[in-house]
Amino acid sequence: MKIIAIGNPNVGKSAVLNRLTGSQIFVSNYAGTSVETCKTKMIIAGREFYIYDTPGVYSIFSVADEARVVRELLEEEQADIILNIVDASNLERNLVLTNELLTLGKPLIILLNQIDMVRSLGMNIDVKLLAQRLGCLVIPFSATSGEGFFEFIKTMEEYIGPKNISKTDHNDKNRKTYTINLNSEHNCSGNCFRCSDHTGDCMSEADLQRAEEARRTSKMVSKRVSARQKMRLDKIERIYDRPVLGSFLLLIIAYLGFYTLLKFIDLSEGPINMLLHPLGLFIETFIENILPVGWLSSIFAKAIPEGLIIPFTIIMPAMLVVGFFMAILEDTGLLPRYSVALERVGSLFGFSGQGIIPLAIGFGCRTPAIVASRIMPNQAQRFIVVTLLSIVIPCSATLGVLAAVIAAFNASLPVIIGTMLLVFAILSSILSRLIPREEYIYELPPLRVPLISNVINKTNMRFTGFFTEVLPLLLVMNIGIRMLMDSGALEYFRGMDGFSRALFGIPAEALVAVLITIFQRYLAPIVLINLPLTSREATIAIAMIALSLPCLPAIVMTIRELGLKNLVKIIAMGLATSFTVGFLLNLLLP
Amino acid sequence: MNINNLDIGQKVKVLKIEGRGAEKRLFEIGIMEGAELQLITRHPFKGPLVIKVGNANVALGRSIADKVKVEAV
Repeated sequence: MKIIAIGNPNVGKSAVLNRLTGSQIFVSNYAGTSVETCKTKMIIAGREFYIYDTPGVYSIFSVADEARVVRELLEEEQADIILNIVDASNLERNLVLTNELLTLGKPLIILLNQIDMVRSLGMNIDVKLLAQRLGCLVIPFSATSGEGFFEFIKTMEEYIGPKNISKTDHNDKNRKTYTINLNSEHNCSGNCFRCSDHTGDCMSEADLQRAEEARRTSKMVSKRVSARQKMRLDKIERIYDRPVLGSFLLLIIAYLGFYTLLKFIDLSEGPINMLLHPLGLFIETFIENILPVGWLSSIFAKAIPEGLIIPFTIIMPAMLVVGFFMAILEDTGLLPRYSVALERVGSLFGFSGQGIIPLAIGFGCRTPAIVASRIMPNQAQRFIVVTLLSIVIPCSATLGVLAAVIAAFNASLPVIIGTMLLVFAILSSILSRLIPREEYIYELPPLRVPLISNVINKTNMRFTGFFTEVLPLLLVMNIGIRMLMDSGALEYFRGMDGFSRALFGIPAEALVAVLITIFQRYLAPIVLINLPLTSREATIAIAMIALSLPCLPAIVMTIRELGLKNLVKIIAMGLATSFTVGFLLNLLLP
Repeated sequence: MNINNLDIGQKVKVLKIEGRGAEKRLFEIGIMEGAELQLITRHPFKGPLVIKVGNANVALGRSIADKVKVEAV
């Protein structure tokens, strides 16, 4: 038995499903988090029910990614029941989607969520009348209190029992129905009378009719019965929605989160290293014992213990702390408020305002910053932010080492910083031009007190990939790099002195250091320190290193978050940036 | 009159939405002809506006807000 849950963003859909199934589904409080759909099993009266969670959509005929996912799911999985989760406190808009779902001709059950909220708003909804008008079952529900849970179970029992929902008079057989046709051009709903060009973002006569119908129904069934009660978070919400004070508070919270992250990484490093050291020694002896003495054995014995250090001391704490903070920001409803408060700043760089947050985290460490890039509203914007992070933003480790090298060679600090700022400006303007920006329309959910169990579930879900994806990948890459370094492949480049001097004005050894950034960005400047460089050569080499490639942990996180294809793009852009910078500085510097 | 010209707290009704493109997205979020809106806040430096539609708060960029023509109720 398959049930597909569909609802507007911010209706508390995932919280409802969490209440129904008690399982670990992503629960979020801002528009568009659960971009993936997930499935959970629920057993009622001995029968298995599979409930599919879907991303929140305003319309299933919309051009947005989320709506496409929902349409595909509706087509591929022959759903037995559509469970429409409706925010009772915002009935009119939610009923537009309900009216769309009704045209699909599938058995529909409506969960009227946040019914408790409606009561505190001083409103009453005539559930019977609503059910009558829509011609389907309506169950008043509250994900916070659990109200309506037993009625839902009872309904399901009846459904599988002799009295089938679809056979009751609840489902109006005379209603005109449509099937979703994914093959129609531009995913148009196909029932359009108004436009002749199917651009996909057109509004059809059917859309307007459904909206009109929703307005009429909503007016008919809702009644004001008492005065609006003051809600606990009303006052706080009003403070956060004041532009200056609210933005200031948001920045303080962001700073506290940032501070906690760095402090946590700092404090956890010692104990984690203490535990890792004996483990590393054990692995080293173990490998030396089982593998025959030789090149392979020495590489594995060195690379594996080394490969454990970065994931456990940097990535693990970063994923935990950032995951936890993001869960809190999402579940309280603060995250979209960041987007609004920072919109102006973000638009200067061509991305949504919340992009400032991962970029700021990047100055501390790029790995958690890439995790935090999830707050961007879509993949294209995440790509911009991760690219800027990978190529331009220096993390605290890089900054420290760069500063030391700059001092050692008396390199020109203004030239290096100026180049970095310029590259940041040019790169962000190119990227934002390539990726068109949509008009800014963003729903702000009400502020809520987060449920601790949801926050823990989410942090947990975001962390699960650590042992299965991040750790193995980093170990394998670390072994690969050790092999490359030990094989002397880099020595080959040392013979290219003429080429390097002509193009970039630096000796070949310095170019090798630049190439080492592929493996360890903060190792490269250390290689430079041991070379006899002039101040001009050092300035060019440092600028090239500062603007090149992401470090290994950042590479691994990029693969995990954006996929290999995007990583290749970022690396290609990084190399191009680095070489262009070297080439131009060589031409321009006296 | 468009939403950009409103006073904070002012309640209005949507007359029409000019220009194509974002029309559908506005429609989906509940901003359509006849819908009642209220301006909640206006962010400085030409930042977004926050308006109330039904029982939901929605942030709109100034350029899209310019296209929403309204009349006082």
